[in-house]
Amino acid sequence: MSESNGNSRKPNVEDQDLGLYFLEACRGREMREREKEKEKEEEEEEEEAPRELNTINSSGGFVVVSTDKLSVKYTNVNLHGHDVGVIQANKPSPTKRLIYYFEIHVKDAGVKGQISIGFTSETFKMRRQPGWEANSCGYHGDDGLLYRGHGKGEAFGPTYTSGDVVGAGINYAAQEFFFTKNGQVVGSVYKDLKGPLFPTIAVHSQNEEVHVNFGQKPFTFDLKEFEAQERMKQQLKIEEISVPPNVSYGIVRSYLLHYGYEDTLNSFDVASKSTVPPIHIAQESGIDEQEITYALNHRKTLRQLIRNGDIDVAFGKLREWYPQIVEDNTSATCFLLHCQKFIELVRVGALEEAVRYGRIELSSFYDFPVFKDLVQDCVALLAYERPLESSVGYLLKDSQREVVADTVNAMILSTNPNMKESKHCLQSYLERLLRQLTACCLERRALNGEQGEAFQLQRLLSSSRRG
Amino acid sequence: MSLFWLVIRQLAEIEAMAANKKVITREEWEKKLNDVKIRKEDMNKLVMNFLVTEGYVEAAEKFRMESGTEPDIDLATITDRMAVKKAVQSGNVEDAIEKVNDLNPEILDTNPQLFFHLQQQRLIELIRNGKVEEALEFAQEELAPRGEENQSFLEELERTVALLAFEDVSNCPVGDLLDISQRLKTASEVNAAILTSQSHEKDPKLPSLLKMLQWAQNQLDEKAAYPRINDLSTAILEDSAV
Repeated sequence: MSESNGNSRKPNVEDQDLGLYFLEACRGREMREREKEKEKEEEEEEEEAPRELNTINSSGGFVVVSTDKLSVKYTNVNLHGHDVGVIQANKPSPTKRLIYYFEIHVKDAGVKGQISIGFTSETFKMRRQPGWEANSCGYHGDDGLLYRGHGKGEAFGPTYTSGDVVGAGINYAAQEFFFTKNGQVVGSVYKDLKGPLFPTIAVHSQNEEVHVNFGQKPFTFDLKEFEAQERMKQQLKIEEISVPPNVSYGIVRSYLLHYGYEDTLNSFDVASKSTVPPIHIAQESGIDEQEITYALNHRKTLRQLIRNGDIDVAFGKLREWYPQIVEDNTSATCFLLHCQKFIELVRVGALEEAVRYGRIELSSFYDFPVFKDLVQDCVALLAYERPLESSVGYLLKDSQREVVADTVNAMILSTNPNMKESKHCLQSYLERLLRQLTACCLERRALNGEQGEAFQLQRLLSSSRRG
Repeated sequence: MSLFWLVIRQLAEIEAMAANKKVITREEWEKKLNDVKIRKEDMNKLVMNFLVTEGYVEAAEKFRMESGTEPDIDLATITDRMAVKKAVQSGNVEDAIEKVNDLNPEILDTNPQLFFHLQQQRLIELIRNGKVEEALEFAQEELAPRGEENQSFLEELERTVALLAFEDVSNCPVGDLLDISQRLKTASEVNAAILTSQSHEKDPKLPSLLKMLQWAQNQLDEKAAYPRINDLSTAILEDSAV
């Protein structure tokens, strides 16, 4: 290791250097964290909910909107079906949530009580009741009918009048519109409209007056409870699905094998044999088992060494057992090990030695874009009195050692002549299943026009401590 | 690939398109899979959660050392919990009840159904061991009063006592009560109650995630043809649309 690498040799950055896979994993970790946080903030910000009525695009001639833009009154005498006082919210209903909901309070049902509540598209004709025209849907107070895109309504719920509180909502999980009256669900209907939908209210006879509540005040309807029930419904559907018994045991076991957690595996095996009834899983996974029992003890030993920060010893063992892995000193695996050695020196405060080591082993990687960022981060450790608290402090965490150990583990697995697919040494079964789960949920949501709650595996994993 | 399979596959693709489904090729799907970020710590936590919840205390301890993952519960409590579970599994119900009460007397106080099931299990064990007189006395004194509080308890009690009516229990209609699965059922009920009392989830997360994966795949099936994982135990990605 004392010899320096000439710059004439280029680091092996071709696809077959499996170690590069982990390079991304470790460098990306910290940045991802930051990105994720930003994303979360953005999502919450960007999803602006309606807060008031849109006074610009409304059928201005027939209605008067109060100064707080939250109530509307029909002041004319209605003459025909094209002088409806319709008004939309200033923003479309937010879609990235389980449910969107708003309410109206009918202050005065006026002469005829021709009030309605619903959702309309952006281009809705602003002189017609929601539901009378295509791309709209409305629950009407005078007849209690639901109108969906044409002049004829369908039986739906009770009528409503002065003093009633009526609500309209979109259930994105079930893809339904639903309506409420005085806190009770009246009914729901399949949401066949696409695109942004504006909360919409309409009044259509003299003195009709309606207040709208976009959530600034507590709703009459218990939205929280409704949401909880919807989640429960979905949860029950999932719980009904059956998976083969003991499949979890098999997945856990293969995970322990894959990463070379040999001691855990042994305890696990002993314990699962003594449970009543004993759990047999080994036979089921069959041939693949050979792929991951391969070099188990070596992998365990190297993981321990790296986790303890004994990088020199780990290097020595690798040279002895798997010279092919470390023979190219410019591979991603060697690079990660060198970085780790440097990090360990910084950790124990041997800064001068770290500088020396870095000059010999790390500087040559500086010229290559794939490695450059991590080299920079490593060297940056020197700049801080308390590096752990700095922006590159992630390097001093246990997780960084784990990445290096995982890289070495994967590289050893890849030397197995029986390994069928190189991907298998990079990802455990568990990881492949979690990727599939995430991809399915993301894809489904994408095909749904990104509606509904975002899928976050992490949220699922950290949601613990339910009573 | 034989011609037969090629045809089958093409037919499936045509079918998918006819149903207005999006067809996602293996290549496209693998790219999506690669874009997913899965954190190692999260997988470690998932495995730790499984070990802890299922009561693999030694394995959990080893896993803590080998992976640096902290368990989400005090490992010492697992030992106690497993002792209770084991006692029920091996038919020492009295012992189990005592141990539960040592752990936290509120568990049985606040959970009459669990307490009844434990007592019922005790009765079953008495009958199993041929202690007819003791069984009758126990049923009348301990179980019958509880049955008065609750109709379903009473029915269960009657079902259990029926065991006494048969000489050859292996062939009687309520013989399933003597089965090992009845012990396991009671044991897992106690196990869940203890976990709940420790404000821990009573089930490990991994099996629910697997269910969720199946569910998510089923849901996506309605809208798209894509490579599925049909066999969870090998995580093999099948070809799309077949």
